[in-house]
Amino acid sequence: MTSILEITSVENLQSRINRSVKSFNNDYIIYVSLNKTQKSVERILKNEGISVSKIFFIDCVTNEKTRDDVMHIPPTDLEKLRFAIGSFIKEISGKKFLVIDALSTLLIYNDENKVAAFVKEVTEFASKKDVKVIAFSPKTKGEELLNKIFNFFDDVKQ
Amino acid sequence: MKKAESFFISLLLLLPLLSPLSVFAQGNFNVEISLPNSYKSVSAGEEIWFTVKTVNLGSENRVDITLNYQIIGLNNEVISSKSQTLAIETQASFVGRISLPENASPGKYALKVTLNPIGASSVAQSQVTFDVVAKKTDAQTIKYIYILLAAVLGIILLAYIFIKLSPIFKKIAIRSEVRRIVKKKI
Repeated sequence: MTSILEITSVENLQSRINRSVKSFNNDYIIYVSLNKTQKSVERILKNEGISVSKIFFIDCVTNEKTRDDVMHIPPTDLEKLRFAIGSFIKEISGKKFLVIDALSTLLIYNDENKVAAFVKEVTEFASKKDVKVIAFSPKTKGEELLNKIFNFFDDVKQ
Repeated sequence: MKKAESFFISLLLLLPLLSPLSVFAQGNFNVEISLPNSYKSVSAGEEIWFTVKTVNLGSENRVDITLNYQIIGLNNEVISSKSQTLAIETQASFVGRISLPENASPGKYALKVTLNPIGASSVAQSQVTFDVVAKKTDAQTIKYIYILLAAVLGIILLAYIFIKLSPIFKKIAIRSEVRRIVKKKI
């Protein structure tokens, strides 16, 4: 399975995410939300006519638990986040995708090298489990990080 | 003159007879010392309480006596002493006390009392033995130190186990939650 890093402007970020999610919509998606709450993301996707019934959300923005089918993990705890992603990948049988929006947001809370290590671990694990990874990052943020993580992805789109 | 002489002679004749009586009177003292059970085993630095019973069989008159108390070690060394002067008639019982030095080594000791009528030589003695043991407070303190050490070690061990196991518990919790979410949705 492939892993893709999409680098785009802030304005186009959400639309690119929507497009990707729409294309996977018959399969299960593990959606790691780093710059919007799960509630906001769900509303945006629904507005685009995208079904969220097969989307498993990991909300890293808020710890307010409004639904019991949403996992809340602080963006400071990369180990916990990595383990949660891995657990979802193991538990969900069949074809699935991993979507990480605004990867560079992790730089606000973590050291660059730690984020790079996190990305490496996640992409490697996903690859072993035949899970396609789509990670998004705004163009203006975290250039140093992007330079470090380019090589972890099979494809980089700008 | 003859009367005076005969009196004097009588006195001289009687004197040898009187002497043994006075000696008998002086020697007719008895003294007994006893220790309560709680003082048969004491620690260094403690006070020993005892009872003394004196009997004066030689006279019904009040007699002044001195009681000398001594604590004697195995090597016959006197490690503590005390004196007391009092007047007794026929008998007297009273409670006394004497301090054991702080540096007294554990072992067997004797508490001796010597009764001396004032103005006469020693006539009565009594003694009782007791044991000096290691200070209870020392043994207790050591016991408390061990308990405290064990408690501290226990806390450190628990903290170590908690720190080591904490990530495992977190992972178990995450996996459990993920399973629940997936089961609900699928």
